[in-house]
Amino acid sequence: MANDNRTIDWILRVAVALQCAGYAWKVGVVGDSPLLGWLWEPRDVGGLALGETVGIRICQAVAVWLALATVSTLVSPSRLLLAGTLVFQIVYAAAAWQTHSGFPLDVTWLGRGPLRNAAEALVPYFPFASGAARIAAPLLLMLVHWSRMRKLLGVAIAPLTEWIARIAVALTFAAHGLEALSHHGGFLDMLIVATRNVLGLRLPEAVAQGLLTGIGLVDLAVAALLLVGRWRWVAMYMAAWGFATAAARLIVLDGYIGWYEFAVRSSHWALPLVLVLAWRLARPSTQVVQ
Amino acid sequence: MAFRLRAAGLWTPSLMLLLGLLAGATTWADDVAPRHLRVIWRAAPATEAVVAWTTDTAGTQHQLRYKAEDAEEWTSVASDPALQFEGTLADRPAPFVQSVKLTELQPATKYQIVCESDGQSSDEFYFLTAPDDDRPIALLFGGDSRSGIDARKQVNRMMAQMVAEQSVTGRPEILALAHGGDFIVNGTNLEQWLVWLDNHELTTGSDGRLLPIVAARGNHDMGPIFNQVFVFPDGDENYYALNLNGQARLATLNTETSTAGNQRDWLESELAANRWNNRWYLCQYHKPAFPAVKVPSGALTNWVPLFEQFAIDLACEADGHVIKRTPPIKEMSVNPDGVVYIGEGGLGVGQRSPKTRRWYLQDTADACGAAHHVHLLTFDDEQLDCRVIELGGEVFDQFTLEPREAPRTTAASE
Repeated sequence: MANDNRTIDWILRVAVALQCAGYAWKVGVVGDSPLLGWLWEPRDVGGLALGETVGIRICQAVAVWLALATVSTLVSPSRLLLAGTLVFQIVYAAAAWQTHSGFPLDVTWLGRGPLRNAAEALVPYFPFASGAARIAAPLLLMLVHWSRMRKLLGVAIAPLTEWIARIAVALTFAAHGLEALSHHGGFLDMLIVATRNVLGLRLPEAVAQGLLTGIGLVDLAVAALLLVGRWRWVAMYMAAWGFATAAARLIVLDGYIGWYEFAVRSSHWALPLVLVLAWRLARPSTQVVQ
Repeated sequence: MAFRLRAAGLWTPSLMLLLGLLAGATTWADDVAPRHLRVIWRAAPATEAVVAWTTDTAGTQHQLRYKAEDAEEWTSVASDPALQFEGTLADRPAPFVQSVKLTELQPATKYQIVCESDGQSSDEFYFLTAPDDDRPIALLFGGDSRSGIDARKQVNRMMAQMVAEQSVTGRPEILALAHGGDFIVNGTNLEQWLVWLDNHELTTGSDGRLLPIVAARGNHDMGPIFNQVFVFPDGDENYYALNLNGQARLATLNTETSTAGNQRDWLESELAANRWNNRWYLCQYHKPAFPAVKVPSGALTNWVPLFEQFAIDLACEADGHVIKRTPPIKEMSVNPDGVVYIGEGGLGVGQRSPKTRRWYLQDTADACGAAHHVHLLTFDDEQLDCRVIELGGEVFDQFTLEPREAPRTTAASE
């Protein structure tokens, strides 16, 4: 692997390792996750009715897997562990879908009719959109770490890999943008509490709502721009914003919660950063094709 | 509850309703027969109440007839404009909410009510208004009725029995049910709300006594239907406070919107204005500040400092699906001057195991458990008695709190 491209590889490895560590703690130690809910809830409400004890044991086993994946990803990435992590991320989103743990996007403004019916049918799948970057991260690491195509083509990342990253980041930003436009209570609190904790100022809720509207619009705009062009400044903004919003959890939440809520969002900054570097390196390199 | 329809020739739909209920199905008769009668308390239950009911079609004329028990004349009030439920049903149009806000009621009075929609009348029901004096009263608190329909129905029947027994035995009247949220699984699913409304009818006594409800929004109660079921204004954020008698006040908070913004400001003003005008002050909300299973909600950061500053007596929480009681907590440690946190929800939902190794549950591990339950809170001038009643009637936990002394102001101390 060329030295220039090692950076991309390492960004993904660090991000996936952080993500695995965060989820291992959240699922296995804290035990507050849609996955556990899905496992133990009765079938009539979308659960698998396995009981709390079995559910907790499964979650603990998953956590062990993720802990191994954390170490392995940093030391020597394993296809098996990363594939398992990918499956976990998909199952986690499915659990949020099945237990209605995703953001309840309000679509009543669409009135009564087929458009709203279609939107209401899509809303339950929201966790797949908001979690797209987290789902994609282990897959991207596998595609980058063991890629022959990029060496053959002499590019930083192969076209398919690049498009997976672009779509995943765009979906994540678009979903969070819609949540911001809906004035998600948690987002409002994050703005208000972060302002209080960092600046010592009281941010009125009306101002926070206005900020969220702006943030939501920008999120949607950059999500669209990421799909239509290879603008490094767009990806750079998304990396910076993804990091800022993940790191805000460290400021707003108690430390023992904040660290893993930050960690599980590592792909929000890492994937755009990969695109920034890939597009910087997207020129034929003798080093790469050697 | 089967309605005895008074209009001639309506015995067939009435029978259909009865058969539907026996089959455990959501009833639908494609007419305007009033069903799902409910009394909702939001502001001043000594003198005000909202009465709402459901009709399958919009109808044209809806009214509520009511009278105080000792009055001779009935008063008729036209309902507010019918409101069609948001959401869709697979086999029929969404039904309608009819509602009337009653004002200028007499405190501690039995009111008989009959709902009428296009000539079809409900049975006669009654409810009690809250007293405005200092007489002892009781309140039911519970949460999480979102799953476990059979258990939900059993708990509802038990609550109706508790209300009746409390009244017959001369103990303080149970005035209302404070529901801490997560009524159903998916708040945008109208079918689930209609089943809940069917099941809520089981809280009505055999003598027609309605149990008023004080509703808090849970994370599963997302979407606009919650406000329609409980007749909140469109877009209302569902935080409010009301007096249960002259000396007990209950604030209902909403953990599903910003906890740090306007709601926190409102809570601070509300507590400053009313805490020390009342001997007892309670708050109810959905996601716990001191959870027995999950992680703390924004309530911990944004409300608990106010609870402690104004020394509320009890915080009633839901969401965790366990039975929980903490010792008094102040400044993140056990402190006799602190606030006791109870609840976590058992109105039907499957129960989990409380994590009693958490620092705030270690001293009260025996008061934590897993069983369907409701809390019975009884207020008098000497104590607040709290009992956790399991399905079946056994008392799982019981404790009392004594009234707090209001802090002396600087002016008073001078």
